[in-house]
Amino acid sequence: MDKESKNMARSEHNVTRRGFVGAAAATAATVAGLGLAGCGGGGETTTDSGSASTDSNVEIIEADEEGFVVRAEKTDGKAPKNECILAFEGEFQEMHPMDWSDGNSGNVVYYIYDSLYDLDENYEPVPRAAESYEVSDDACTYTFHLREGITFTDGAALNADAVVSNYQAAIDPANNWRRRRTFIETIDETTEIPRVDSCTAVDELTVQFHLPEPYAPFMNSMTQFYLISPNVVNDSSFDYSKQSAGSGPYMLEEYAQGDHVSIVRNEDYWGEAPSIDRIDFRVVPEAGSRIAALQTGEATAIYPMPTDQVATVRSAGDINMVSIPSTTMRYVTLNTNYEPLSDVRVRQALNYAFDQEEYCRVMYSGAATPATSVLPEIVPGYKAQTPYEVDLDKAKSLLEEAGYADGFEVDIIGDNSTQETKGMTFVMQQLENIGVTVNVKPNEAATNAELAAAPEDETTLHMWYVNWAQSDADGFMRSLLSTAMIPPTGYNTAFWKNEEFDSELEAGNAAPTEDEQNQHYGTCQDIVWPECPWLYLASDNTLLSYKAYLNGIKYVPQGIDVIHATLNV
Amino acid sequence: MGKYVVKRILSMIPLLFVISIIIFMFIHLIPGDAARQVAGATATAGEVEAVRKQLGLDQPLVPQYIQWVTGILQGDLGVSYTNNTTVAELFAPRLPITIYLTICSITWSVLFGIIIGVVAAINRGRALDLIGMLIAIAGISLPNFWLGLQLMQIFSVNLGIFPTGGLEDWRGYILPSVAMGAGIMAILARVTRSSMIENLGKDYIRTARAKGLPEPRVIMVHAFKNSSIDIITVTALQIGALIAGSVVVETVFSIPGLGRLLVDSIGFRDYEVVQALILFFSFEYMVINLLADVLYAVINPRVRYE
Repeated sequence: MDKESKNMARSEHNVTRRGFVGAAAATAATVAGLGLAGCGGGGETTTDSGSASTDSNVEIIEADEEGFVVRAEKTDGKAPKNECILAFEGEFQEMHPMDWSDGNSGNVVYYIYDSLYDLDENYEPVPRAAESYEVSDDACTYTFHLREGITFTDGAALNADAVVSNYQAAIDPANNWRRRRTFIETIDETTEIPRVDSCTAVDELTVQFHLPEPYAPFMNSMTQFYLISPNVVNDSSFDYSKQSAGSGPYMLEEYAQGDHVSIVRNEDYWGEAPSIDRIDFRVVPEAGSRIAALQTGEATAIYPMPTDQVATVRSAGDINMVSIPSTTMRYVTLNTNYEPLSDVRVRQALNYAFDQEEYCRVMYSGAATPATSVLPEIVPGYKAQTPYEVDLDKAKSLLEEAGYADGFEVDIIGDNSTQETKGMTFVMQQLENIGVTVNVKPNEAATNAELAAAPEDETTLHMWYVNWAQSDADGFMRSLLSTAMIPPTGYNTAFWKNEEFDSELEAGNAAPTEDEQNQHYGTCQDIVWPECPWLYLASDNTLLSYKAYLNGIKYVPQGIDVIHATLNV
Repeated sequence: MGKYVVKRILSMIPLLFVISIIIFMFIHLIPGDAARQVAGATATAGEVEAVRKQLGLDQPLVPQYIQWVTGILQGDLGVSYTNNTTVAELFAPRLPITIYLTICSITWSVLFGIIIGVVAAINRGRALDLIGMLIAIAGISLPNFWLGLQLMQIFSVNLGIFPTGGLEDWRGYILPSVAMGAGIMAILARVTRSSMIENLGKDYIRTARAKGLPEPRVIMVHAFKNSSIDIITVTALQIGALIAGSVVVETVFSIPGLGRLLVDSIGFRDYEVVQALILFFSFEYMVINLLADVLYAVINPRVRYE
């Protein structure tokens, strides 16, 4: 495929995300918004049963315009019961709606508890427990109008007072829930900056949040403020792993940590009643076993779908497979303090030497999109940049200009999973072409996290092969590229500092409308792209496979959504 | 004998203390920061420090160790950092699963290993010997990870007899037990065979045969009884190895047992869970070895302990 038609294929993906599986998506392992981005280790436990893609027999994954890689031919199959079994790779660690940290748990919580607003497939806020909202002109007051007649499963009413008591419980340091970060930023042990200074009930169904200063990702973060019945929100003895107290379409039936979570339909749900009686979220860590379970019907859908098993899915005949752009960006941070990498020409040279298309093919069987900015394409605020087309002559002459005509030696660290080690080896091979010797040093994920947290004057990082997933432009760029987030505070492990970038980011944050925000975030991307604090790799797609007897499965920022799906029984 | 057992049990106490120190040092000295893992990937330095303080990880190691050991002596195994469940609560559902799986695997593999070994030894050099040793070599060489996936492909996907994972009923135990026990079966077959061949060549066997004892009696009572010492030793050692095997098989068959809990907890630097698990495995290993030693004396009264 030549460059032109590939670009076309890419823009088709843009269409895709408005189509079918809703498509636009954060990886469920990381989910949208605040404090939930994933970095390095966590999401990357690919237990692929064979080293796939270097093998030329592996099928290249190409999606049609609706996102389908494989369309089932046998569509007359019947589900054994009106129950949906979703097999996930990772664990479900915590069922507390305001204290979970892993995306899989967040996915379950999304079914049980209502937030005021949700994010839809296109990352646009859509009403849930609230009917509408308004923002004041100074972007500091958010007023939500709640739906009438919502009750929690224990009978309590979801009204303005309930929201206020949830807010108070969420910010209570004694509770110390992980979602406290939605409202409060901890600088160090003694300093905390509140993002919200008050939450008040205006009347029975109107609630107002007041912010001390504008905060662009506020609506995004509100989608993870899940509401608990006021009867139990302050009851520390309530065990969320045994029962639930939400107002969402499903209720917790059973939670067996490390094995499964079952939820059943909430018969008193205020919205359109779901059709599926029961949903079972299962942990199936081994990729080969997930596929096997899908083949036998022990799973209705699997996530993620291993890239090297497309042929199995195709030959099964009754399985659909879709490829969905994700909010995961893969990159290598280049320590801009480290001698050869401190020269921008050197960093550009590395990018000119790196073949992104080949990377997508070798590493993801084609189920990835080359990076065309620091943000993945589907993150609102993304602005396309001029790609660094492979040009070894240009790369070499840039190195020569910088005084490294004979190349240099540099270390790269990354996680020691099969997939990540393969990725680092790929980087090594690519950079060999311009005489740069890369020493691949895989470590266990927790070790890398510690190495990356070392302060600027102590760090041993040269290059870090890593990834990040987040659905808002502000959080994404702030965490990884702003001066304030230089380790140990955050994850600017390139130690890249640019005042203009920082002030544009602030301007974006303070801007009252989304258009204005995106204007500033676009400028941020224009500034960072030619500076090359990273070796830009790709944004990999999320692969999802499911039985043809399941209709209407969606992939939303909160994860897999079958609330309004149906089964052919 | 009774005195010996009591002495052995008492000697386990200082040994467990030494092990507890080693475990504690090991888990706290490897790189990787529990507070950072708990706080989450996007946590700022301030949030990480707050978590560190909350978990007591800002304390020096010695007080931390003392606190941990005091807890254990009082029956408190600690609390998981991931979701504040106590270690005991985490163990409770998983322990029976792992033990049951271990028993299933050991039972069939010892039974088949011995049968194959004895049959091979009696038919030394003939077809049955060859077939037996072929099975044994296959059992040793096939990684249980691969074997598990192949069994699943054949018996779950193609034939639809067994589930691909989970332990809803007895059928769920079959494939994992086969995958887990294959290696032990193979090793036991080989050990049994060589030990039986050695014993069958000894003078007392010739005497027994000369006395006119029936051949099955010669083999099972005289030769096998002496081989059983070797078999017990190897079995006891293999049960230890089975713990490592369970990690892989529990992952392949999506079984929530102790093996997978260990792997997940190490990845998360969930110190208290890891410590408790390793301590438990060490203890289990000691008990099994003690049982093996006692069994020696039961089977062969000539074995005496001082």
